[in-house]
Amino acid sequence: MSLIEKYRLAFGISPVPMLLVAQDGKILLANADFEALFEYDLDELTGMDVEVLMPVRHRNHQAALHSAYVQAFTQRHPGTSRDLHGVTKTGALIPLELNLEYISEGSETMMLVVAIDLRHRKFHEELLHSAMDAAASAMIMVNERGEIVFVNRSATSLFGYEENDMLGQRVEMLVPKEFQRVHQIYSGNFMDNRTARAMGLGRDLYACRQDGSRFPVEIVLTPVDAPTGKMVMSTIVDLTERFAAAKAVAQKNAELAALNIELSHYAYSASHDLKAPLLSITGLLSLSIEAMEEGQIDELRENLTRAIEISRRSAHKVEGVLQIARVGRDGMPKTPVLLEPTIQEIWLDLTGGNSRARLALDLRHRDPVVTELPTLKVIIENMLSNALRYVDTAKCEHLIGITSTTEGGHVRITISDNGIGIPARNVQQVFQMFKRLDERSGDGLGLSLVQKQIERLGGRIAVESTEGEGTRFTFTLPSEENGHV
Amino acid sequence: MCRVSVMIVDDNEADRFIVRKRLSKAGVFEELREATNGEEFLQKVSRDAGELHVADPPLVILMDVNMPRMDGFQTIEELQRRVAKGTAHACVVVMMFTSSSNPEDLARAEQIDIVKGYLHKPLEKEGVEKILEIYHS
Repeated sequence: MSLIEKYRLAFGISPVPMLLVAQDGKILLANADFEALFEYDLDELTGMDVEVLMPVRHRNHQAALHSAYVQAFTQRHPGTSRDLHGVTKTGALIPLELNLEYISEGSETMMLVVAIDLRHRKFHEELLHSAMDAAASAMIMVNERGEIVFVNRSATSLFGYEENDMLGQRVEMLVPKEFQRVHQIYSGNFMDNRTARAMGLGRDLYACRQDGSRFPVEIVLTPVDAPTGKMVMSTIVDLTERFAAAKAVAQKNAELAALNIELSHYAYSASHDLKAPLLSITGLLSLSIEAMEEGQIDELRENLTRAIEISRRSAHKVEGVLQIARVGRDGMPKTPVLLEPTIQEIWLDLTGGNSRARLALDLRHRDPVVTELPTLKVIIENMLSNALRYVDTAKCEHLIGITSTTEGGHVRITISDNGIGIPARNVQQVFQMFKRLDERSGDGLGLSLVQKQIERLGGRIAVESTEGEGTRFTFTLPSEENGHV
Repeated sequence: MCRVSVMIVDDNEADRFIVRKRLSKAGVFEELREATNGEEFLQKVSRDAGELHVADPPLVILMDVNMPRMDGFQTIEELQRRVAKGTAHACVVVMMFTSSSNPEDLARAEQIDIVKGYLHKPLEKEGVEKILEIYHS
């Protein structure tokens, strides 16, 4: 029995496509499965050149091809280093996994080819890849040697690489420099003890983009045993937004907690501020009754006058708070307001005309300002009363200056004093609600409401201060009905 | 009988007026000395000021708690430092004088040796009696 006949028997019962090729490339034998795979009729292939089954680009390069096939065979990883294809009778291209074996009988050497149709496997692979490309998380498959063998689309866009720049590279390319060494150790440990788990539990993980920037990540590692070796699938979620959101929430919480404390301080001191004048009035009225019983009319009158004065001032103070609350709620119609008489009226209200402080006006904005008069009054009254309150007794004269200038459609007003000033650490806190920076502070609402009102009217306010020298508030307001054109 | 010297430290003019009236009606006090804030008070009790003399009988201090810049407690702490250094008059009987009913303030007052009493505003006849009682004890 010739060698071919021996093989014909084996080919007949083989469930996989097989081919026997002579040294000169002529096909000696193909089994039914092989001919069906390549769409040939029975015995049609016998005697044909094996090149007929190869893609055109490989024909006439038989030597090169041959060596490639041999290499594929010796590596025992066909398909990994090069996609092999066969050509059918109708010209269709079939992905193949080929196993080749040389057989020698006497002086004759033949090549036995076993071909496995990879179309199904390829189809599933592509399906899997497109599913992974559709995933929102970045997915990266790494082989046992730590090389990237697969990346999905989310991964390339997350890290800013082209797919080909990542494939075959060490996974450490995605790890910030200072962690690259430990990463290798950790990944070695993981390979030795492979269970699906989150990476870096209890540690903050960072990944590195193509441009060198880093970002916080969450990584889940899943071992995958593929026919081509032990792999690890890493699923990477970018935590940048989550981190930022958590930070924002924490900051908001801290602000609310601080505001809450301030609010309770405010409630405490506001009630103290309301209680104190009531107690004074009580004391004066009790003295009045005694004076009345003793027939001391002059004393009675003095005590009652004082009680009335305190009541009047307290009512005025409460009215101020109410007015601010009303203005803050509704807003009101704007009317033309002349600055000078308005300021003089407020000054008189605040000082009763007998303050030791000197008010100097330098008002260069001559036109009326079209604004809400009660709101403007509240603003100026707050700032003037601050200027009066924080007098520096060490200075022989207490000066308060108000200037106005025109700037486009705005009026810029400054109120400055040579009082005690604001310590640098407190300057930026003066506009915070309920912030009473020292015992001389009023209700802790004043400047925060002033700022809100000015912003509501379309202006801005700023403060500069030097401790021991004085303070200057500057604010702008649109001076015309429709603001600047 | 020797008249009692009192100094009030209070930024509230009405409260100083009431104390002035109350003490003068009692008839056993010297004319009320007044300071409108902690600094002014410390100035007045300093040895250099010459307002007080070592031989003088003890001075009763009515100390308000809520005052601008330097509150009553801070003022007392500073007084103690100055007394220790010998730059302030030492013979004083301090009483807190406040509209505050804050238990923290009360507890704080009890911690301080030279604070001998705690008076609530407004000062009435009972308050005046308490001043004399504490002064004589």
